[in-house]
Amino acid sequence: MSTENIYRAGGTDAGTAASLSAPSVDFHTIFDYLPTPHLLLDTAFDIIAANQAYLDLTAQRQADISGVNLFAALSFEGEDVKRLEDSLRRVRDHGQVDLLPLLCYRRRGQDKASPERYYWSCTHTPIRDASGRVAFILQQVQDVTGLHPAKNAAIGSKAGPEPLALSSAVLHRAETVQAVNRTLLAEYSHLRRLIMQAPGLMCVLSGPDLVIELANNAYLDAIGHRDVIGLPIREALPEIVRQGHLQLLDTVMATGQPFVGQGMRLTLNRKPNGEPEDRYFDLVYQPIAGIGSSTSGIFVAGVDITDRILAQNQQRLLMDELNHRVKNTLATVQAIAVQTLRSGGPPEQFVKTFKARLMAMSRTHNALTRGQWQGADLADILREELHPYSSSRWQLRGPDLHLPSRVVLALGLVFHELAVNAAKYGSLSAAEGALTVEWNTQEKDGATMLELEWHESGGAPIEPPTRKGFGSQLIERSIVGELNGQLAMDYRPTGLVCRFTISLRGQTT
Amino acid sequence: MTDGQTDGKTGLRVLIVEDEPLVTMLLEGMMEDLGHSVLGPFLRLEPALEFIQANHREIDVAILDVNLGGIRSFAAADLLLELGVPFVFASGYDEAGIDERWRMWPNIGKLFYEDELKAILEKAAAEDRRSIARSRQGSAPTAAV
Repeated sequence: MSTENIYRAGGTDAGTAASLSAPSVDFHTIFDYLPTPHLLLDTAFDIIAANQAYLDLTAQRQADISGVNLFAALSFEGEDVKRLEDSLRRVRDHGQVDLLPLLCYRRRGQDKASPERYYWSCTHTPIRDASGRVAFILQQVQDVTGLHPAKNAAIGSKAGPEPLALSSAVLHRAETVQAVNRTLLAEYSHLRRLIMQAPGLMCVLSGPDLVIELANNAYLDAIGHRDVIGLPIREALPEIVRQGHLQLLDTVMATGQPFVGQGMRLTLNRKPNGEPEDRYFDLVYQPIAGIGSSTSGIFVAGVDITDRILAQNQQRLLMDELNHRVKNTLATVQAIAVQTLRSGGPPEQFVKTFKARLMAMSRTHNALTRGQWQGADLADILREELHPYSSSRWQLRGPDLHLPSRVVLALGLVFHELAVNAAKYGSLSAAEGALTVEWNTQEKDGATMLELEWHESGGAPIEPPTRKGFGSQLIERSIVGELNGQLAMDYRPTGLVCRFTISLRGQTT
Repeated sequence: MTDGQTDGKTGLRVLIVEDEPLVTMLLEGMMEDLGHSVLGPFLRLEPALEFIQANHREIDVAILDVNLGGIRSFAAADLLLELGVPFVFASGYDEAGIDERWRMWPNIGKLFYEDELKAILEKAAAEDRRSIARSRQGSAPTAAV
């Protein structure tokens, strides 16, 4: 709205200009006849036109300077070049009128070696185009050379002493103010840079509507670089309203008491597609004191602690998992102890069998730890259980096969029970007995199936057990119950043949 | 499998859902010692769900492990609750590892003491089934057993 107004007031709109201008009015001529020096620049600071007063002041010709960059056309010295440029930039970039109280211009006279110094006071005005963008800059110059003490000596004879003394005091003040302004501007820029680059979140909300006046990089980062400056916070971050934060801020405004929150979860629509994301913050809503006892705004400061919170959660998850595994292992040990005891026999037998079963579990754990609990090879697990027996008595036949941890844990105990049984009653108990373990894999419905045969021969004649002992019960529970496989125990007179098939799909830890 | 109440007094039919074969054997032994009979055991979730759906009237009480080979068993807990079957968790997870809505539910833990097991099962089994089913109407189940 304001853009439109400025633009219309400027009268550069064709329609408006036409309706205003009677045929006799020629703005170009008026510009030329204006008694004070005026110069029109584009946004690259190239000269578009200077009026006659400006040409007189600078001793230039229109043709020589039109289309030429201001800094090439006219001569300024040292720091004045930068000050002039900064002022023009401010006008161009912020669209606001800028004043330059004192600027030294070197006018080339007849003697080109020693140019005369002139002192100007400049007003730089932005001129906007139809879209509201700054398209031109108008420089209006007030020549104050006669008032400047440095110039005083040079032109002393031309001016009376009385008014000059008075004026130079005014001029001196103007210079002082300009110097102070420069310092303030530098300090302001420095502070702004510090705030913008500060690692913590910072944001200034002003007025009863809590308009976001300033937000630093960390803050913008946290909210996903949305365009929020100048917006009331309820519009800038609508998602925080229903999370109670608008209420918190209103309370701070009403009471003038700061709010301090730690580890606060905020769901922010910070992703480019506006998808919500949980972030955690330590936050302070600090009231900014206004006139009297009222609160004029809120300074928001905070730290994004999301990474720390997520790490803590991750650690808690790992602790839970560790706790779970330890408890499970203890329960398994309890089960082995109780079930071994149930099988009967003298205490020495109990100790021996219990220890052997514990060792079998321990070896499986070792194999898994070596593979960082990413599973283990089938042949390795078999060797772990069969190594107490002469290697001439048993052989393994099958492809290399890596098994997931859960399968390894189950099969470790299964092979232990089979091996112990073979050594006690089966083929490993007789001099001529032999054991072959053979396996293969097949793909079925996208899953790898393991088929394994434990084949004993040449041992003592065996008969099917009359009741299910610890070993056969464990094998069945593990293969059929736990791993959802198929199992066939064939008690042949020549020895036990145990066959099973299990799927390796979906068997995770 | 379902003729558990042979002694007619304390014998309960206890459903066991637990993925560790050794632990199922341990629990079976304990049930036998306590004069209860075992339904199952089921080591995976799916057959357990099927069994509960088809035979829930025969279950006096259930013991439910929370983690079945990496799969949480809360679906079974929901089903048991819906059907009004008393149950307790047997989980190595402490509260933090259990879904918030189930944290208040009885958990006998992973090491089993026969006396404790006996008491908690008998208390659970004595619970009125309709009141268990009703408790699911509330926002979160409280310790119904």
